[in-house]
Amino acid sequence: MEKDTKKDLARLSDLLDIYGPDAKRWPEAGRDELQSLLQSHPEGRRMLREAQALAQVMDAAPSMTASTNLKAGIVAAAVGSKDREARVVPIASGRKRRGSTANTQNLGRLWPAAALAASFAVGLYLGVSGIGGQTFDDAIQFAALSSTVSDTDTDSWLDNGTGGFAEDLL
Amino acid sequence: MPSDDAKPDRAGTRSGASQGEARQADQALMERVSQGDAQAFQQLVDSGIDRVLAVARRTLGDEAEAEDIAQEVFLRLWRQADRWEGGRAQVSTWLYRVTVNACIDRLRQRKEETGGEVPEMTTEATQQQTMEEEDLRDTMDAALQGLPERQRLALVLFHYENMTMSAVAETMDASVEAVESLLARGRRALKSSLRSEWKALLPDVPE
Repeated sequence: MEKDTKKDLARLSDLLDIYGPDAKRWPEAGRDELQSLLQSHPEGRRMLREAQALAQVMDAAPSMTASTNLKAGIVAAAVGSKDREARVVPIASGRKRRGSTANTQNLGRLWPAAALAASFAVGLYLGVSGIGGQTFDDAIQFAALSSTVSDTDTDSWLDNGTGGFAEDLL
Repeated sequence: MPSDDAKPDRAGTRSGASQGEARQADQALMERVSQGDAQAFQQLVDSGIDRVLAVARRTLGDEAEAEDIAQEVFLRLWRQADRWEGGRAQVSTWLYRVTVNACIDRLRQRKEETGGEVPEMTTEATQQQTMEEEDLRDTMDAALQGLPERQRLALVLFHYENMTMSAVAETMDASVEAVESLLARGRRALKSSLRSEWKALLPDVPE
């Protein structure tokens, strides 16, 4: 009996490490038994509380949501491009990332083209989305996103995706 | 995401019937996109971009790079919309997979740039007894970035994106067993590096 409990506690520990404390996410097989153990055994309860505390800390990890500018820029870059040849203008290259040797040359090169493309890109997105009140800064960002620049790095990973496209495109 | 209003599947939790419906809706939307329908494309962007950003931000630890990834992913979707095969996957699944690949590519580029050195920000997960919310966020971010990339990706997809185990395995092109191992090692590593943080939430648990 004691041996079985130890074995079950070890299983429970593994389960918490893999799936976390939310029992709904555990595999169905054996879930009820292990949940009973969680409630009835002090060691099981301790393990669960620790897993819950860790999950709570993990949930503090930063996330982010898209700004209107970013969404507009992507739509403008795509729709405004000729023959679906829109290219990415690296945003990260214009900002300094910790631990990175960021290159700012691309962004600098595209300003003339950006100025020309800005009005078109802004108008295009506004027409699509119905969003108003855009500023000059918005326009510049749209333009940066919609310009075509040489970006040899961009496609290096594009052939790695799979999913809804035919194999020859993946 | 168009057909994927609930956060994706989270890829894998849908019934067969609703997955079929989702694929049909995706197919219809992608057909519109392939014909240059800006509204359809905007719908895809609006519904999917936050998930792409969340995965990229947590995997890369950098907002600007996450935005780059978002651009790359959606522009690729735009370029290839006319070759979409609806029966193969949902758009959300495809977005996750391409985002993960793009993140892996970025991380490899970083390694080349830094000669394999661990960026300074990954070493900061130390013991602070008390901390404000922002400090905790930074500490958690640093701990996450300190994990090996595949452990981090597995945790981002399973814990943060709430994907099923099989969907994570598919997205990472790995077996379920391999993902389980990655998750367990990742969580144990976080439990160790963030010991003071989670212990602070359990004041009555002895050291």
